[in-house]
Amino acid sequence: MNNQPPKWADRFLRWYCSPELLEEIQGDAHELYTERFSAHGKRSADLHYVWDVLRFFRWSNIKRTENGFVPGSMGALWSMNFKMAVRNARKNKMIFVVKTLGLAVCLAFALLLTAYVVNELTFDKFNINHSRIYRITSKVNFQDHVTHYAVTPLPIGQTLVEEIPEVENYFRFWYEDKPIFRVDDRMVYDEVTLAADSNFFNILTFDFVQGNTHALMEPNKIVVTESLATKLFGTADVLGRTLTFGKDNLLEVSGVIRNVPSNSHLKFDAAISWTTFDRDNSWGNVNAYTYILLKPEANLEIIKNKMPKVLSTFYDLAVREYKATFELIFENITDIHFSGPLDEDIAQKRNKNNLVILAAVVCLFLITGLINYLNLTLAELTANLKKIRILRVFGGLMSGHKKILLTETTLALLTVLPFVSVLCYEGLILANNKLGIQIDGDIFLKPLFILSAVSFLVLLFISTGANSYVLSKTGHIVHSLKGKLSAGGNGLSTRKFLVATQLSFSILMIALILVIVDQFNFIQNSDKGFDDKDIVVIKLRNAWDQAMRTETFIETIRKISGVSKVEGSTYFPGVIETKYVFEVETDKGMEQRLIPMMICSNEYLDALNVIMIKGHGFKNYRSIESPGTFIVNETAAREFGWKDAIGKMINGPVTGQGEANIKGEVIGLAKDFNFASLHNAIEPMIIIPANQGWTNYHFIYVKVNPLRPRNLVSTLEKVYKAQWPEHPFEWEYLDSKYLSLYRNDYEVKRIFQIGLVISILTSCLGIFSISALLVTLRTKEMGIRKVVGASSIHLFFLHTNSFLKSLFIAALVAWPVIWFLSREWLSTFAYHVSLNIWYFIVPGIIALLITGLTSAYHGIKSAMVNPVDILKHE
Amino acid sequence: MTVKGNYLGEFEELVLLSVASQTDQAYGVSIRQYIIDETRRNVNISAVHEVLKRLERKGYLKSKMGGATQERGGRRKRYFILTSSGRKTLEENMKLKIQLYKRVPNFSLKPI
Repeated sequence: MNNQPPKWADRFLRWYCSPELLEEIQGDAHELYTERFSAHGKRSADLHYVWDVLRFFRWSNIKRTENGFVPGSMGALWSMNFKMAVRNARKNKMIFVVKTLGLAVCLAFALLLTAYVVNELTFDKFNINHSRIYRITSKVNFQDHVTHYAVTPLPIGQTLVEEIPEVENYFRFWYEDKPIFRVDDRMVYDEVTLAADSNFFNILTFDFVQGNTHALMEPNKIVVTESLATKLFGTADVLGRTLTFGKDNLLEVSGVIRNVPSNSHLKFDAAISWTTFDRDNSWGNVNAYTYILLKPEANLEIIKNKMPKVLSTFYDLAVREYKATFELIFENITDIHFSGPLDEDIAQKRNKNNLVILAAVVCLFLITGLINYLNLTLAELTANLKKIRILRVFGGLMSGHKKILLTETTLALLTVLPFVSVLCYEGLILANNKLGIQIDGDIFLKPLFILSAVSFLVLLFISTGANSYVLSKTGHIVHSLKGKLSAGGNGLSTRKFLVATQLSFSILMIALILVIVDQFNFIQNSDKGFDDKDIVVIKLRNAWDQAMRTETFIETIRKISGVSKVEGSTYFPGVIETKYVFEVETDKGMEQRLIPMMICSNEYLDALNVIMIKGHGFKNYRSIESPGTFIVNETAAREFGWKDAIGKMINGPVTGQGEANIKGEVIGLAKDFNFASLHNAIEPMIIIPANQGWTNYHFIYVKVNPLRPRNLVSTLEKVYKAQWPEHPFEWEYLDSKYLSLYRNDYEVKRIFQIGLVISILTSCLGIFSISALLVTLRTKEMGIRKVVGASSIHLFFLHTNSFLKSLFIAALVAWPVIWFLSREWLSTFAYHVSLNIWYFIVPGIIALLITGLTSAYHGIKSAMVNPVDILKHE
Repeated sequence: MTVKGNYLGEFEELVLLSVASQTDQAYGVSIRQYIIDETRRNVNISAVHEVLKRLERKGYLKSKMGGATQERGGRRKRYFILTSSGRKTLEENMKLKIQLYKRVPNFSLKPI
């Protein structure tokens, strides 16, 4: 009968237990086992034995050192190892500096990028109930044309809460744009403002500095962010104070919140209570953003199934009154940031493709830095091979050397970490100020970030461990002692592999930056269809006698010298556009369509140099006084199926009562011009001349001469102030506004530019130091070769050859990755450059130059060598 | 050694007492059995080992390896003996406790 305790437990005990304690511990455990065996049987005894073994597994019983005494530099003491590491670093100062510097820069950059990616990935996760908060958006199918709006009918939230028990709560808000706030004589006008339901702060989680989540319960209340409070009042302690909103509405500050986190899809500076305004609370008013909070156990599918029944009256109404079918879409709050663009959306959006590329760059940097580090460590090791092996002959163990390696890594990290922290911190500030990338500082405390940072460090240690494994494989002791240093071919090939990887990353970075820069040039030079040079756009705000004032304003600035044209329009890049219902003539008779509309003055299209393909603009149209003239763009004509657009009938925009405001015909076909960014395809558009009942331009376009007085803008401001003393003067150059539509892409571009510099720098450092080490290893060989008759050129190529081989492999690896990543990024643009062979060849050539130049220094050095100097010792 | 280290913990005292009462025959298993029998507490052998080690370090116990035995698979036992400093500490401890206990009002030996 087997009355032995489980073998594995015994083995475990022997493994961890320090030898001097093993006998008594094992003895006692075995004695207890025998006792229990006879008393309770095998099963119970086994269990108790295992338990005992586990309980013995404590610090005081664990084996401390594998080898009590290890001679020489393999010393078992960590403090000794540390001293060794410091000495080593001092001895090879250059290599140590290169090693640590490369590591620090790459680590810092990778960490910063990680912070950026983490910020993107944690969007809206700060809301405590984020898993239960859903935004409702509406998909409207109007005459077979589906438009996905971010807004919903006003009563929808209330109805859902009343009719569906799984919906716990809701709130909606109205986008108020950027109104004017006044306190005494101070005026603030660039703040995003929402009019929000009282539940807004109960469902979303924002930190209140003053006041509480019930702040929006009553009318005429406003909640402001700290920064807005400081802007308005000069202090954040503003609870209960009043400010003027718009013309003369007084609002009381009922709460102050911390600034909206950088990872919120909703960016706002102030929220006014919903009840302050009197709104048309009918189903036809599709203008509010609605969010619902589900009950914890609620199932979204069940709710979706209930929707048609609950909203049947509304759906019927929509079909009857507007001839449109509605579909309500639920979108979890954390998904909003990455979902595709919607109509009338104000959420911060990001294309996930950009993020994929950034994450790839993070990995790239980490690996480049790591490789640089490993490469140099390995190279150093190879140079020290002889020493190590002599030590081994005297009984030193590989584990001892592994320890030294790890302590060296620890030392490098200790040197690097403060540096990295400073770089990260400064980088974040720099990114905020210079690149316009907003990331809150507390990103560094997010679990996801800490996790990735720690895993970077673990990666570093693991790979150092792997390095020493490579070392232990490097041939026999005897070989190395015989002087066959390069017999450690294993280490050499690993190093070549590492250099190749590094080079392929550099090639990749160069290629990506080429693609990005090309795409940007493409955007800037591409035919937008209009000319945005030298145009100042002035924003107008509504006033009761707007039409008169606008007219006077336009007349006055026309006379200013340097101004060539003054036109008005309702349209401006980046402004949320509204679509209107038009009846257009098609093959099947008059059909209703939802089309964006632009109202502009007669010569507006000429001022922007929009080309008329057929017909003419409003400029010379004689019957301009009689209403009923339209211009459409090419896309619209295509969409309506018109072969010849001129003379086609259009009625619209159709009002809620079903009447068309204007009935008329198309007099001109304009070439497509793109006011949105090239990420989006051009939409159809109907253009209406202004003097057909509308004179309310929202924007005045002032075409100025290229040679204009320097103070032109301030002259414009003076005139503006004379007309609207109560309004701020808000203006922008059209071209810079247009470029600002690509802000996100610019972020990516800048990140890549910095990344490119760092990556090239590290790979240069890598190649340079590797070639330095290679030269030291092969000095003797070079000397002998020269004696036997090799020419200097031959030696030079011998040296650089090994790098060129690596480069070739690197290019082969990098090309498919370039292809994949750049296609991914370019696919986020509706109009983009196409990939061609140069994107693959040029980076290769650049990398070749870099490799050539950096390795040439040592190549020349080894070629110029005087054999006598090297060979004279032996 | 710090002053703190020279105090006796409750379990340490218990182990010290059991070693003292099992003259020359005290080793891990026997001490554990003794405590279990006397106090009806469930004690793990590793805890006993830990305390023994600590007491030896404090100088209250000394130990020597005994002879091999059959039930332990030929492994030797480590026997523990009370040192004079151990005995002194034990006595001082007892004295202190009784002294303090006597100061409790309504002292009586009957349970309250």
